[in-house]
Amino acid sequence: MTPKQAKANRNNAKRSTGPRSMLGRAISSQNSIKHGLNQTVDFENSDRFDILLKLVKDDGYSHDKVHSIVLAILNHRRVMDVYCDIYAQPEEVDDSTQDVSLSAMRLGLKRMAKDSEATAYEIQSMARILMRSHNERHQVKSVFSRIADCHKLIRYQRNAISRLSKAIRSE
Amino acid sequence: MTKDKLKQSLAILDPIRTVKLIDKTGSFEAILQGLLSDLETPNTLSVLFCEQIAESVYWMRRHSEEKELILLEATAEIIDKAKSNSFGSNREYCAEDIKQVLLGDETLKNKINDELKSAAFNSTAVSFDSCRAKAFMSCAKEIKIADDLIQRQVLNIRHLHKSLNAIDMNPRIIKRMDLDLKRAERDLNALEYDPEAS
Repeated sequence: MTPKQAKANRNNAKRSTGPRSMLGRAISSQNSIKHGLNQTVDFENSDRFDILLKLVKDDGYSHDKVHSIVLAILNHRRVMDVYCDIYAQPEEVDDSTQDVSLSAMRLGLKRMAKDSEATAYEIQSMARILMRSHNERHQVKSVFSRIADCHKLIRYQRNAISRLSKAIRSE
Repeated sequence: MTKDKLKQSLAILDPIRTVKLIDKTGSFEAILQGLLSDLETPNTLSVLFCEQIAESVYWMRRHSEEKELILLEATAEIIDKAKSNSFGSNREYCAEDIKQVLLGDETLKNKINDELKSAAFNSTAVSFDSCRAKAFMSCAKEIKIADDLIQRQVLNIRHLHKSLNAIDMNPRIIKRMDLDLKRAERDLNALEYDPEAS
C-alpha cells in the first residue's frame, strides 16, 4: 500500500460512524469475543437451573439459599466449560509438516541412503527417531498455546469459586 | 458398603452431570469414583461438589504433566543444540530419553555427557545437568504459567473441599444437636418431676 492510499484510508475511516442498523449493531457487538465470560448470562431461564433447583431443594435447603447455590454452581461451570473447550479443540496442524508420515520419511531416508552402507533396520530406526521428535515438538507447541489460553481464565475461576463458597457458607 | 455408596452416589450424579471432559485415559472417572465412595451421606449437592473437585484434581495433574513435558523437551532441545551447534533441525534426543536419564539411566547420561564434551564448537553447555539448568531458564515463562494454573487448581480444590465439608457435615451436626436437645429436654423433665426434689 502506498503512503497516499494509507492516508486516503485514514481520512475515509474518520468519516465512518460505525454500524447504524439494528442488525449491524448486533453483529458488531459480537466482535472480538474470545470466551464470552464477560457477558451476562440469564441462568434462571435454563432447564438445567430448574432441574438443579428442584433436586437441591429436596435435600432440605431454604429457597433463597438453593437459588444462590445453584446460580453459583452454574456460573462456576460456565468458566470451567470454557477451560475444557480449550483442550477439546483439535490441535493446530503445521502446514509444512502435516503430510509427514513414518512411511514417507522411511522412503525419503532410503533414497538418501542409497549409496551409503546403512541397513534397512538402521533406516527404520532413524525414521522412528525423527518421527518421535517431530511429534513431541508438535505436542509441546500445542501445550504452550493451551496453557497460555487457560492462564487468561484464572481471574474468572477465582471469582466463580469464591462466589460458590460464599453461597454455601451464607446462612 | 463402599460399593453401595458409590452406586448410590452415581445414581444421583448421572442425570445431572455437569463436567464435560474428554478424557481418554479414564483418570477423571477414577478420581471421581474414589471421592464418591468416601461420601458419608450422598445427596445432590455433595455429589456435585465431588464432581467439581475431581475435575480440579484432573486439571492439576494434567498441568503438572505438561510442565514436566515442557521442561523435558527444552532439555532435549538444548542438548541437541549444544551437540550440533544448531546447524541441523533434526533431533537425536527427545523428552522420553531425558525422562529415562532422570529416572536413573546412567548409561544414557554418560553417553550424553561424552557427546557434549566431544562436540566441536560447543559453547552452550558441557554436561547433562548444565543443559537441564539452561532448559529451566529458557522456558521459565512457560513453567511460571503452568505453575499458576496448578496453584489455581489447588486453591479451587481447597475452596470446594471446605464447601463439601460444610454440606456433608451439616446433617450430622444437626442430628447431633437434635439429640443433645432431646437429652437436655429429658434432663429438664427429670428435674421437674423428680419426686425427691419436692
